[in-house]
Amino acid sequence: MDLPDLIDKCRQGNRQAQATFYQQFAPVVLGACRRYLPADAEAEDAMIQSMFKSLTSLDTLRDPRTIHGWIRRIAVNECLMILRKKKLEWSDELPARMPSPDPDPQDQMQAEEVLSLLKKLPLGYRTIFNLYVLEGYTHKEIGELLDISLNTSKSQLIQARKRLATWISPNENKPQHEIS
Amino acid sequence: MKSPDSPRSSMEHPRSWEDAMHSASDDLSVQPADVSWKKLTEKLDHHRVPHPVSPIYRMSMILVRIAAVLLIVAAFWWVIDGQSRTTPVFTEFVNDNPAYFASYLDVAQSLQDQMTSVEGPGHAGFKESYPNLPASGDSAGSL
Repeated sequence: MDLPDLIDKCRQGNRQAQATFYQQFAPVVLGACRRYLPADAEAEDAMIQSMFKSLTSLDTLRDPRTIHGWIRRIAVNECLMILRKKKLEWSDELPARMPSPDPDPQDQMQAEEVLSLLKKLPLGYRTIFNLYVLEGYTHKEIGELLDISLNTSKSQLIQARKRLATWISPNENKPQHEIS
Repeated sequence: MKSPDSPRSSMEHPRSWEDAMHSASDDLSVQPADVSWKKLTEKLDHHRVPHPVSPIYRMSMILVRIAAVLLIVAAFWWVIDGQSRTTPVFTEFVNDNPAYFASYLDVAQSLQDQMTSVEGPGHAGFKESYPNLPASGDSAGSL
């Protein structure tokens, strides 16, 4: 069954088609939710809610080719809604020293590595890094989504990058005499 | 989403490990727990509405609404009609009142007395004033 047919049958409430739809998209949606939410159970609930919203609002999807991005946006919005309820604390402090360009670039990275690195970040840093670097939102859009200032978004991103750079390339943030 | 012309400072310039993270995150998929599908189907069952709405269902809903309106109108009618049945009509009230009846008799009697008193001396005076006037008409005999 091709995607437009699958979507049509899901719109008609066909349970078999809904099961196929779920098998196809739920793992990706759960992967996205895991990147944002700290607890696995929370991510699982967010995935269920995202899939439910997707299946019940398929009538609003105009072009079936855009379904991947459409579902991903639903999942991200669902996660942000949960995070907003957590009342994250944001810090506007900029680090004294910015991370230098990566001396030892890693061209290959496994998806599980990404997840484990993100899980180590504080929730605020993690959210901004996810939205800016992995989803492609601008700072202005992030500010509107999370109701924070532009500077807060920027500083959170810098902090997140600094920490990640330290973990990915341990030599990067060390003083020069330690590296040599 | 990120627009192509959105300015990024050198500080925000993406690093190679970020690119690697970005492409790896696209492949990130986690197999959901078995119970999740069950939870989702429960939510969908709860949400399910008749789709598409059948003409019979639509017609029955219209009939139900019409019946409800008629019922409300009938209830109002019954209440208003019941009030008019219990409230006495003014004329019946007056006729049944013995006091009114007695006063009516008094008035009738007094009018009759008045007529008699006016008729007596008036007739005598008239005949005395016009003695040669021939009696004519319906009252000729009585004169």
